[in-house]
Amino acid sequence: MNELVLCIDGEPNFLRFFDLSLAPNLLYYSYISIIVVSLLLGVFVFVKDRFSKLSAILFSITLFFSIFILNELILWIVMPAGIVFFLHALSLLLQLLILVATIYFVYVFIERKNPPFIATTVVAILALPIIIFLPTNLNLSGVELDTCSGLIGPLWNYFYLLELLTIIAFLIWSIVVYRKYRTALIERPLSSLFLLLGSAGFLTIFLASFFFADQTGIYEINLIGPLGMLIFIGTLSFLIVNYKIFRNVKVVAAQILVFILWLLLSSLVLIVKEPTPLLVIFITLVITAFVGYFLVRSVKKEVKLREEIQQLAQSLAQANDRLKALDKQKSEFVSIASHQLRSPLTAVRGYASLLLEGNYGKVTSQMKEPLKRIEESSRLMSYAVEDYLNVSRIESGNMKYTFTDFNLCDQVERLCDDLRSDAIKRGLILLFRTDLRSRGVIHADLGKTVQIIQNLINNAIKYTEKGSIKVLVRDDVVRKILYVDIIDTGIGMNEKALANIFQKFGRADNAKTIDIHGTGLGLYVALMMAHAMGGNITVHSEGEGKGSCFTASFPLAL
Amino acid sequence: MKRKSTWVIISLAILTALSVSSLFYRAFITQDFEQTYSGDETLNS
Repeated sequence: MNELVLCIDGEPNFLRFFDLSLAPNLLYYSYISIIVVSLLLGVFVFVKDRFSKLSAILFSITLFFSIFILNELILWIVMPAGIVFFLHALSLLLQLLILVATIYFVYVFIERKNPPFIATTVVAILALPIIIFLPTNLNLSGVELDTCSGLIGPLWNYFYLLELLTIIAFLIWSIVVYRKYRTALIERPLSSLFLLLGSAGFLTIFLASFFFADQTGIYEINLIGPLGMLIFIGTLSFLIVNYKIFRNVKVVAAQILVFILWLLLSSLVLIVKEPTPLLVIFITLVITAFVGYFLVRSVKKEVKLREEIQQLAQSLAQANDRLKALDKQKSEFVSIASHQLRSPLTAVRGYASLLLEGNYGKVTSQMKEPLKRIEESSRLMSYAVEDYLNVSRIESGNMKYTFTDFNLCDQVERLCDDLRSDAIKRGLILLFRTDLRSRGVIHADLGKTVQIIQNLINNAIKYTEKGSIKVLVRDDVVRKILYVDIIDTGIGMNEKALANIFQKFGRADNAKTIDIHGTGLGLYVALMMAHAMGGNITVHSEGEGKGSCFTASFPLAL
Repeated sequence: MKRKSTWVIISLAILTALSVSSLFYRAFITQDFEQTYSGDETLNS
């Protein structure tokens, strides 16, 4: 007897599921395997990433889809007319749920937020006719007992129209995403593009197969429809493996990919009856199992390695943050301590000077020497405090610069005039020379620039025992830079010293042999200040005892 | 905004439940639907 009679008289007999003579073999291939695979993916992703909204929506899609496919499967196996009517009518609702959940998933994936109220309302209004007219003749008017299927109404065409509009919307959306991708305006553009195209492909196959089956009455076309889900699952698995869209599921995705392959191959056994292809399938199955095992193992290894690297990076970042906080605390401490040191030091220095000048009565020759020492030591100490303060200001980003245009050449000449007496005291010659093609005007902070040059000339005087110090102001009008060279015939530096001279507390080894007080912060502060003003300081020396040349450069004012 | 969307979804869910119950009633209790056989012949309605 054929299915027709069974459709009228038949009882629900679920044992018929396994009666391969009742339905086309492809039914089992395309339906059962896909139910298993999609549910597996949904459940795994949901279990592994329970708190993510995306995984919850994905789980709903796979659940609706599996119920829908199961519904279709039962419809294929003949049943009494009541059940056929109920299930066929219900299948429209299930299709609607899959469509809405897919749109929701794609939206949340790309936009990373819930859809706005207006969008939810529009989708709800569009879905409303299907929900309201579900039990009416607009959906199904009855059952055709010849084919054991429902007599579908206009509501189905309305649904197909919605599906078509969604596909078009997805395609337009993917063009928008692609354009944004080209201009790099969007986060994760490629994965969004893949998901949109994958979802559009899934819906197209789904729509086409059910639409044409309904139109032609050849329901075998339906069998291709669920294969569309494979595109969706494939896209998702690809995204999981390549873009890690869900946390912790990379290994699971690899396992699912292997499982899909294995399941599809093994379900071929149901269709193929000839021994030779069966043998080929069997061998392929064995190879797939081996390859799959190694694939999953290598992915596991890679994931473990990556997790270790991530953990290391995280602890490094934490250590870095802690160090930064400690450094900041240190700078604050130095700043406070230096501020509190500066005021009493100024008083000590001032009163020592006043005493020396005889403002508090006659100073005996016996008292003069200790007073001079007090004055000199407090002066050195206040320089050191000033250096510490500058370092703490630079490191905390509190150093303030007032940019103006001024003639640096004039300033350097004045400085040389002021410092010449110090040089002469040490038996040195201080020369000032210019080689300018411009007016020598730069755009920088006047006080700080003078401080830098003064520091460099003072250093040259300190570290030169005999000979001369030449200060040369020159410019490069093409590169718009003004250079100040301070060339001395002093103690010079070796390569090691040259590399460390601008570091904090960096002093050349031979500098310590000369009895000169210094914090080792002067050059560091000078370089930091030069950098902040768009300039630089470089140093050159032929070696120890062969003198040095410090060059400070600043951008010329336009 | 989120609450408004939730109400829309809850309303739809209630409507869907009502619709499915009504469909169940039509399919199994009243059996008020057409049953065609061999083309044009109607067996039950």
